[in-house]
Amino acid sequence: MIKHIAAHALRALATLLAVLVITFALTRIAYRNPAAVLAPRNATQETLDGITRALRLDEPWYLQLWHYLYRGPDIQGAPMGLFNWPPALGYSFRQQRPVTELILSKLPVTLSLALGALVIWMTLSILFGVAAARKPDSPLDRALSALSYAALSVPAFLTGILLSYFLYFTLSTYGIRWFPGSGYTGLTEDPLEWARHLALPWLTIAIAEIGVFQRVVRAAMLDVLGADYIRTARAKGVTERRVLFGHALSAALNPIITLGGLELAALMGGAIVTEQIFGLDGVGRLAVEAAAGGDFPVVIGTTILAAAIFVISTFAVDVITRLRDPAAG
Amino acid sequence: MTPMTAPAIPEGGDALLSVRDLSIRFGRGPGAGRVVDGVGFDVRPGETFALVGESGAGKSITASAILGLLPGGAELTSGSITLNGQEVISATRSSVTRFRGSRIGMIFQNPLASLDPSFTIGNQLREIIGLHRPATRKRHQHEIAETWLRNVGIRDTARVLAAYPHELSGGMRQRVMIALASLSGPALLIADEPTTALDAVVQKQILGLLRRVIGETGGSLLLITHDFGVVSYAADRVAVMKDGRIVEQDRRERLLTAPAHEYTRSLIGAVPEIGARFRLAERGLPRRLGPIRENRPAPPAPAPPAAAGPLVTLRNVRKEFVVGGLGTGQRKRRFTAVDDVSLRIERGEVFGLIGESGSGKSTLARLIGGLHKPTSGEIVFDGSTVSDLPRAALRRLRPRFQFVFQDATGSLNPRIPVGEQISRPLLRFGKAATRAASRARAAEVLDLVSLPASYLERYPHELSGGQRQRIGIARALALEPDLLILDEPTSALDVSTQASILDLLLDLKDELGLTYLFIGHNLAIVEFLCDRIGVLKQGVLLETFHAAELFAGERHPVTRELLDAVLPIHRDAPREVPVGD
Repeated sequence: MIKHIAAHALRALATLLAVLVITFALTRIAYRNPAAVLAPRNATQETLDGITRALRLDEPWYLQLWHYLYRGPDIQGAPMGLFNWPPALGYSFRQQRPVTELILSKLPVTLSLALGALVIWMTLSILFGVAAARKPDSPLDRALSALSYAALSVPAFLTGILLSYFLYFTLSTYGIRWFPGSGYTGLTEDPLEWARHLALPWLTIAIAEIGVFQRVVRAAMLDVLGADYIRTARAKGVTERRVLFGHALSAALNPIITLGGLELAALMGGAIVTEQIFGLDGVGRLAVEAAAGGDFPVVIGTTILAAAIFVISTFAVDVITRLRDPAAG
Repeated sequence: MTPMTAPAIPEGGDALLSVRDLSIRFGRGPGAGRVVDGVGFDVRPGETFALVGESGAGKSITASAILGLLPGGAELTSGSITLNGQEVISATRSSVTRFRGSRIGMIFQNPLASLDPSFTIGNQLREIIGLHRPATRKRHQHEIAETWLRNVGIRDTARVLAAYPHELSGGMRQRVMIALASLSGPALLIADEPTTALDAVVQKQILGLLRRVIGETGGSLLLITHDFGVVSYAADRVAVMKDGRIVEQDRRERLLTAPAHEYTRSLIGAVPEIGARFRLAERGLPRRLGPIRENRPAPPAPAPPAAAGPLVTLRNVRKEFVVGGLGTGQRKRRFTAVDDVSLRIERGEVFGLIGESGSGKSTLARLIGGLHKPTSGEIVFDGSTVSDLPRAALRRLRPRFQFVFQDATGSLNPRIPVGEQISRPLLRFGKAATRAASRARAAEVLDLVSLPASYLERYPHELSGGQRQRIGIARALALEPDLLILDEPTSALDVSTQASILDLLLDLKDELGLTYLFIGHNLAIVEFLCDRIGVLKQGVLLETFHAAELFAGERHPVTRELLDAVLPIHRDAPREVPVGD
């Protein structure tokens, strides 16, 4: 097991390094010279050249990469490359703050959004999926399957806007203000406010995910319920509830964990649409703004973050499924 | 609740389980099939009642109905099932659940698939104690589980209790299943083909154990099987099922000695028995299990071997596999599957390989068939050393040795018509120049295995199990091989189908002058078919002998153990009641 983890960690590092180099190259291909975007509207050529020199954008790409990884104390403040100690992700071109600090300040929003949504969609998907698998082709199964198709087909921006319209706008015209339309309150500041602010974004994400996951749970449950050992459990006199939740679900959980890990990772990299609709200042928004504004270090930083979360999440899924599988030893 | 008046029982005594006029259908509307049709029988206290029949006869579904576990799509249309006079069918769902496991215990065919892979054996045993005796304390539950494992002949109880199903052998798992089913002392134990997935030695142990367990709990056993050897060994009374109906039921001795129904007679006749070929030879009859095919001319005398010398020679063949190693998290170690085997297979003979499961029979067959390369030693096929041949040369030689596998269904591609599967290799190996020629040859070999040429267009799922195995044989024969390697070709088939396939193999051998390497675990079949027999254990070839010498006194102890595991059909003799372990 330890060997397995070590091998996995090495592979993960290699992946991240590759992501870094490729993103770096992409930023240099995508923008000729971001100085024009960064400079004030009526800047003179001299100002532009100054910015270009200050950001070392006139140097060859490999020197730029080197400066990104091991940043000399030439521009603002302390060295903050990945190879420095403590490792950091460089300095934002635009916001005059270290990228690491920027990301860390936005991360709680994104984490709250992704993890909260995960809890909601997993719980509901498992309940719906088990209910559907219990009596396949029953009216309940058909209704749930229709719902999941609907949830799948409606894009997140539409669900978000509809939720926002009915549960925020319409309700507040009646004077009911259960859900705020936008904004964020930290969990440590006020847990209730935190949940109130995030309820609608959570639902927006959960609805889309339930469409997929309800079907995955149903398929996995149907598969397991056909197995001989489920028949044994029934022959032993195990009650139906225990058969479903004790024996079948634990065996059916693996594909759900795998897929859940991937989806969670994708969301933690930034749920861009949902963050935009509900005015949440998360990592997704940071990434989009950086990409539009030619803020190379932030673009690279958020990409590395997303990749790292992905790598960690697949690793966690791998370890969990291994621990759950008695045959893996 | 007032106990129902028990219906009249044919032969005195109160029935424990009474099934009356049970009918079950599959599906709805005009296409619905009646899978069980008016079945009625009684199981008396303390007896072993066997339901016998071929696949599709409706045995297993009858057992499921008793437990109230009918599969989806099956529907009970009429009948009553009573346990101790208490109706099972009309009982509400929760009371059926209470019956299950406490009053009726069930043992299934495949012990690996039937135990939950994600829980330890201890967990699964304790679960059932908790269900049926909820007042039992944790520590006491553990003791009960331990006692029962000892009751079913498991000594290292601590290890087994902590083990997951995949860590136990097939026989062990079935012992655990028996403990699981009988732990709460059910009045009725239902065993659905409990030994079909096990090898012969283990089968005998498990059947003995089942009888001992019901002797101890004072319960009855409803045994579902297709094997008359099992019936003869373990049953008191027998019912024979065919197409959802019981055609005949009687005491075991009477049914085996003087079956009243034609179907029972043909089923028992189809079972190959030890010594059958010699008894047939004494009476001047041909060596066949079924009626002789009449539409065929008498087989010509086997063509004299074209060349001298053995067809296959193995010299000190050894095969090791590497298990574990980098990336598996296990230590790398070597596992010797075949250990220093030397043997010869003469032209035109049938060589049988026997041994318990895991003894290296299939590996040896794959070595001879060029699918594995030996770690050391050499394999010579008709003068060329197969083990040293380069790939291209081995490929040219391949048509001359062909395989027929146990799992006929899994060996055929479900998406390609069978004719295509027979003719394609002909084109590949240059045995046919054009598609038309290959089709003609495919039709020819279908005729050899007694299937009409129209079957060329069929897909595997449109054929029965026996027909699929015929296709498997036809596919191998199309390439005009010298050697046919038959890896348990009949063990997945029904008795009557098995008989017809064995007869077919004997016919083909005479007609085409083939040589067979036959792998089997059923000694009676091996003796019936083979000229010489080799016994393998843990990769070592212990001895080879002529089929007639099987009962000679100086056989190796391992051979004698295999011989002892054969369950013959005792017709008149009183049953040898297995006592103890």
